[in-house]
Amino acid sequence: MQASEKTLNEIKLRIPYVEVKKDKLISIVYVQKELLINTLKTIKEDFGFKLFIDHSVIDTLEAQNRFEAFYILYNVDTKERIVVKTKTEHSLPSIERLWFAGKWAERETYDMFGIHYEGHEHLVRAFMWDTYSYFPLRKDFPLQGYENVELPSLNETVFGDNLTGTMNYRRTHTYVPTLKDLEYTEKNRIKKKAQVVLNWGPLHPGTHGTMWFLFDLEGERVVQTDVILGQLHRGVEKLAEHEPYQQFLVYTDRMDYISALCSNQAWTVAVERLLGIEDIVPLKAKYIRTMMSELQRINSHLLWLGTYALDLGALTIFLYAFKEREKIMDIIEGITGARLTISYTRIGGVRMDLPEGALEVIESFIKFFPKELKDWEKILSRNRIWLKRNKDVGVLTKEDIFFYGLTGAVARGSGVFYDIRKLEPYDAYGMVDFDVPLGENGDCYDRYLVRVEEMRQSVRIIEQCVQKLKTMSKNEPFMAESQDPKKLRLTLDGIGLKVPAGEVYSSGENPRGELGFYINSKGGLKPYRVKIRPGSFYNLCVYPHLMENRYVADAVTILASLDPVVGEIDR
Amino acid sequence: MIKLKRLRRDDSLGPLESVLFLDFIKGLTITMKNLLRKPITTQYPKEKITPPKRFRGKHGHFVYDGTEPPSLQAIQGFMSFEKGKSRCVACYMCQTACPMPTLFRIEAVQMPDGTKKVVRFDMNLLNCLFCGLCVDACPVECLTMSDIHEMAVYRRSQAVIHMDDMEKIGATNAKTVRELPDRIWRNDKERETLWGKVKWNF
Repeated sequence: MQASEKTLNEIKLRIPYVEVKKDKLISIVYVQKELLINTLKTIKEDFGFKLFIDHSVIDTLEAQNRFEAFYILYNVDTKERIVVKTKTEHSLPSIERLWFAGKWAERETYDMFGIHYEGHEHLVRAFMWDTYSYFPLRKDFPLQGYENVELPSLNETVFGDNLTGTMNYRRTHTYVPTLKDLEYTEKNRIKKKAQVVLNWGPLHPGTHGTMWFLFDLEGERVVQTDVILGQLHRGVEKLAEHEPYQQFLVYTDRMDYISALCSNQAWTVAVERLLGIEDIVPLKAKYIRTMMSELQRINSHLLWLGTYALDLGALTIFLYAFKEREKIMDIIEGITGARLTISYTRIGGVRMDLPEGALEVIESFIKFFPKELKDWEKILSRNRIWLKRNKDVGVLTKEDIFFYGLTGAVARGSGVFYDIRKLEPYDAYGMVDFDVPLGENGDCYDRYLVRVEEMRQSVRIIEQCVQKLKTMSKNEPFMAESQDPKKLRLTLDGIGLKVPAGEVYSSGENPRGELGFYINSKGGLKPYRVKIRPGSFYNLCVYPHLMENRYVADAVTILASLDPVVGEIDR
Repeated sequence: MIKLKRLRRDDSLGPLESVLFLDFIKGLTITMKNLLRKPITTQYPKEKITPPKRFRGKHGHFVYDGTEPPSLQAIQGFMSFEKGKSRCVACYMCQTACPMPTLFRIEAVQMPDGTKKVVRFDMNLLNCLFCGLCVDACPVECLTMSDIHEMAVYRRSQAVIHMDDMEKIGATNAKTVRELPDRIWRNDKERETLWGKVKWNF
């Protein structure tokens, strides 16, 4: 929900130098750059907007004050969201004292836009290597980059292939980091304090992706930790500026590749909100989307449970979880046509109606699934090894949640009620009944319990959706019809979908935290700027803090309990 | 109405439990139970599961064989089609809908009698995202996606598919998949190893 008129007026009364603006989709507080820190501090401490959501800038290409920065904050108690905006030429004050998560967001913004942050403790690039000399998300940086390096391996014609033009790769390539660059980056990230720096990753099965960790070790005790990201960076935000709205959906599959449907749904809902057509989306489409994304949530949590148990040495759980996961894959494959990169939702509905037999198969799955879950809990929950490795490891307090901007199961494990499905119901979540599980201590064990319980709640939601979908006839529409096709074209392929000017921040509850899309549209076929708020990115930012004074053996436990997916972190 | 559920933490073992290793025994009973179950694995290259009807695999072209939709019947006079050849009309809608438009190369020429003939329809599948937006966009139901998913090739040039490959795929697809009912799976028997018996309502 956006901050109400009343809150905005109170802020205006309290801080007279700000300007406030509210429209249907977004509540904004404008402030001058010099007064930014004071304003954010007042809004955080006196108005309760404690949870840090996101920060980035928009390149407006204006001659003066080229960059427009925005800070998105959330008040968990009153369920209000607020956006603070300021303008700048090239530098901003750092907010790292207010929110640690801001530090990572600032690193990303520095990396992508070249904004200099005054007072930032260690301003290095977030995704690119440290010797890279461009700022890729600036509007004057071309989409394909500067292709001025010749890579001999790409120019070899091994089998005499004679492909021309766009059917072949280009002869020149953008600059790729060399070993020297990477070595420089590694040295630049961490200042050795203790005995030895241990590299973990980027290609290690325990990191669940391509992350590169550096542990500064004193014996086996970790003194400081840093993460080098960007091995999977593909510039999805830049691509979004060059793709029509429907076509960008395909790239959301590739962000959080384990829960593609949830990302699809979050993007579709965000664009629907911007278009103002959330109400005309047919009920059937809403229920199908909700049901499918809950299936995907179970799928994602199963992968998490399997690999988490595998990391801690319980191989059997991995095999059991993947057996059930395969069933969900079968369902998703049959309904959408793909197993991993799904692209099933469409702006205004879904791609296809449910096929014959889909509901029976889903019913058969949810009939047996809770029994299996009970079995696994019997193996794990009170197993002494499991308890020893999980209990009181990686404890997060409520204050940590706000300070580090954590969302999803990590926040709920610490007892913070933050679930977008309840706070800002999208699609059919407002019409179904489910509980939000909350942990007590905020350790790895609580996060495990929360995720297991979430699977059970997802089964409940799916059950209700199946009952509802059974009552709907085959002929009911699954795609919204536009009242005025000249103004608004809603088709399955998304050709010619024009979105009016405006901005929106809309988010969905992914299995790994809040996935938010800030869309800034100047009207037309393509968005002007899309900022993706990845749940895993901010969930990972607490990792160095959690690893302080822990042993190397806990590294795997803590990382897996945060459940990051690199496709979403790096985008 | 927001419902919260505080989780019950049962995180310490009792003395009896820890001495007699009851926690391990409990877990092992589950393992034993699973030991008696039938294996659910499919031995992949030897046995293969048929993909469902909606599967999005390698692209194909439906051919001109008398099953045209009304949208094509209206304009077929302007096209120079041959029986058994692609029914593409080179409208470039697939390319417009594609998130990666450069993977298409479509060319059409005007014949001496004034009709239009599509002479080239290449797709570079190395760049393809297999999202299916091109199939949704095709106004004459020509472009389709088959269930071919084993597409590894040795050369980069082999990954580019041409119109004649696609016609073959489309012709096979029309015989085997197109007329099937819109069911979740094509072959329920194969899925039974994993699923057991599913209760169907029809």
